[in-house]
Order: sequence, then structure tokens, then C-alpha cells
Amino acid sequence: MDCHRLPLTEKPGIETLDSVLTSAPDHPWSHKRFLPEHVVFHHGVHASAGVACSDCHGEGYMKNHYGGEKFDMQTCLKCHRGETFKEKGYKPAATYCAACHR
Amino acid sequence: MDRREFIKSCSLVAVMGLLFGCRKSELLGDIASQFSVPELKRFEDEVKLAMSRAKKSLDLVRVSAPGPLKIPGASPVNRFGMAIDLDLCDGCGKCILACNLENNVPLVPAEDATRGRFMHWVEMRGNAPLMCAHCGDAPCEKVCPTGAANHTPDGISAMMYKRCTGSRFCGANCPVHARKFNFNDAQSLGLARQFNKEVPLRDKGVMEKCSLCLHRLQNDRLAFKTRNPLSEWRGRGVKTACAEACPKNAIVFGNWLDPESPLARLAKTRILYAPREVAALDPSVVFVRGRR
Repeated sequence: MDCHRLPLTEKPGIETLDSVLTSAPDHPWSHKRFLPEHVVFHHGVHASAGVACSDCHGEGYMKNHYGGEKFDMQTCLKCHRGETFKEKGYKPAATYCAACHR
Repeated sequence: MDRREFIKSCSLVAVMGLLFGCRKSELLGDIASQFSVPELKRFEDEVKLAMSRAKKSLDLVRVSAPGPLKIPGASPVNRFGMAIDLDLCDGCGKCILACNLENNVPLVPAEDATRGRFMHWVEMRGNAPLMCAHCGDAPCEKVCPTGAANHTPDGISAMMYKRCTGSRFCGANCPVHARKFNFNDAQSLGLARQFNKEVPLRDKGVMEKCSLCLHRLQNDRLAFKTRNPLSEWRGRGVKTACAEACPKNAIVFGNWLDPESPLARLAKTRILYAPREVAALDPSVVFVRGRR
């Protein structure tokens, strides 16, 4: 089974995509990490605690608008102290320094 | 050339110089991450030098096993600590190098090295490794004017480098001198190397010390809470770099309040000791010797 290697339709877009993909470098994107080195943030913990993406990232990603969010320690702390999202019933989380800093 | 013209040309030169200076500093910002990094051999040699200059005396007194912390908000289930088995330890010093590489501990300039002022978080005292005891009643934290030295609920005397303003009160108040001050800008002097990307390099003017490999505990805690959001994290399976590196397994890391932890099991059959200076301060890192 090699379905994904074959052009499935005759649409010209598919061939263009194929030719671009064959000439693309291994990592065509460059990822820039904006989180400072001394801060720890783990998406998994927040997701498994039931925090929705839109709580921090807004609704933009649903319309394919990415980036532009501004985070600071106050944003984190307010939620960890249980001040924001009261209606969602999120539990207060750790607020000691070494929970997020190293 | 009259006076006015002379002053004009002078100020022009000054402005040009300033502009050139700005351009240069921008350029420096770009290559800041490419400071020369020292060879691994230099770290090994420094550890050997530190070992040869180690103080010979370690005055130990008996202590009881650490219980739950007495600070407000302390965790009733976690208190991390270590025990160093003096019956097994032969003072090889592999823990010092392992710690330095794990925590990106910088080298010191030659002048400091001749005076024995190393940045090592673990040092040899009386042929056994001595590090921060993570006292439950830590004297260093009481004198910190900024709150950079503080206690986590699970018993680690943590150090928040970005909060530290370098008053050095904590270092003066530590009875075993476990805290080390960054007198030199190790990165620009080419004395620092980031072996471990998990641990940030420290700036000049910041106090540092053993963190009980805080980053390992943090990573484990986050991974555990992702997998089991409802159960209690006990830090099982985590080891510090020194405990991992010890060829005789003389350093045991664990959770004093977890009966399944190797540390709690060890403490049941052994006699615990602590350096005389910190014995009354409820230390989390202790020495064990002999059986009871």
C-alpha cells in the first residue's frame, strides 16, 4: 500500500504540491521558542487538566489566525490562583516559584 | 578654522563614534550565543584540582530521619532528599564532575582556582561529597531580601536566579558554605558551557547552589501529571545526576515521606548523620554510616 505516494487525482494542484514537497528541505519551517530558558511550560499538563486551547490562545486559531498572543507571569498566576475562569471551575494550581522556574 | 567650526566637527565625530558603537553592540548581540566554550578536559582537570585541595575534616553528629516540613503550605506526601552512604563512598569525585556537567557549573579563572574558590555545587569534605543540605529550617532563605532563595512545598531549597540581586547574605548565613557566588561573567570569559540544555546558565552577580536536580523533578512531575491528572505525584524513579554517576551507588536520592522510596527504606536500617553545623536545622540531605 503506497496510496500516499501516488497522485490520487488529476488536479494540477496535486502535482504542484508533489513537486514542491520533493524539493523541500527536511525542515522547511524554523521554530522560534519565545519562552525564556528559566521558565517551564508544559502543554500536556494543562490539556490533561482540562484547560481548553482557546482559554489561553483565544479564538483566532479556529479561523487559521496563529500567533500574536501575549503571555506574562501575571496571566499564568491569575489562573493558577483561581482568579480567572471561575465559571469553568478550574482548580487553583501550584504558585510556588520552582513550579515553573528553574 | 574658527571656534564654532571646531566644536561642530568635534560633535560630529562624537556622534559618528556613538553610532558606530551602537552598530557594534548590535553585532555583539548576534554573536552573544557563540562565546568560546571550554573543552571538557578543563572541567575534568578543575575537579581534580578541587579534589586535591579538599578540606579534610567533616564533623558529623547523629540526626533522626527527616519528617514532613514545618513550613506553611508544605506537601504532606513529598519531601525530597538524599543520603550519602559513607560505608560505600570512597571519595572518587565522579559525582562532582557529573553535577558540573548536569547543571552547567562554570569554570573559575586561574587566580580563583589557586585560592580554592570553585563554583562546584558538590565538594569533597573529609573524603565524602558535601552539598547543600536543603535544610527544612533554612538559614539562607531567612536573610534573602528578594525572596530568590525560597522553599518548595516538597522540600527543595530552590534558588530563583532571575530574582537574585546578589546581596550574598544567604552565602554568609549558610553554615556549610554550600552557596557559590558568580563573581565572574563566566560566559563572556569563555568559562561556561551549556552541556545540558535543560538548565539555564547563570549570570554574573547571582548566587547558586545544589538544586537537588530540580529540573529533573520538574520534568518528571509535569510528565506524570500529564499521564495521571488525578493521582498524587511522589517523584518515583527520579535520580539526581550525582546519584546516577556514583559507581558504588553510595548516593541515594528519594522521598523521605514515601515508604516505597529507596531513601526511606535505607533510613530504616541505617544510622543517619549530618554535619554538626546543620544538624539542628532539619537537613534533607544526610549521611548514613553503620547499621542499627
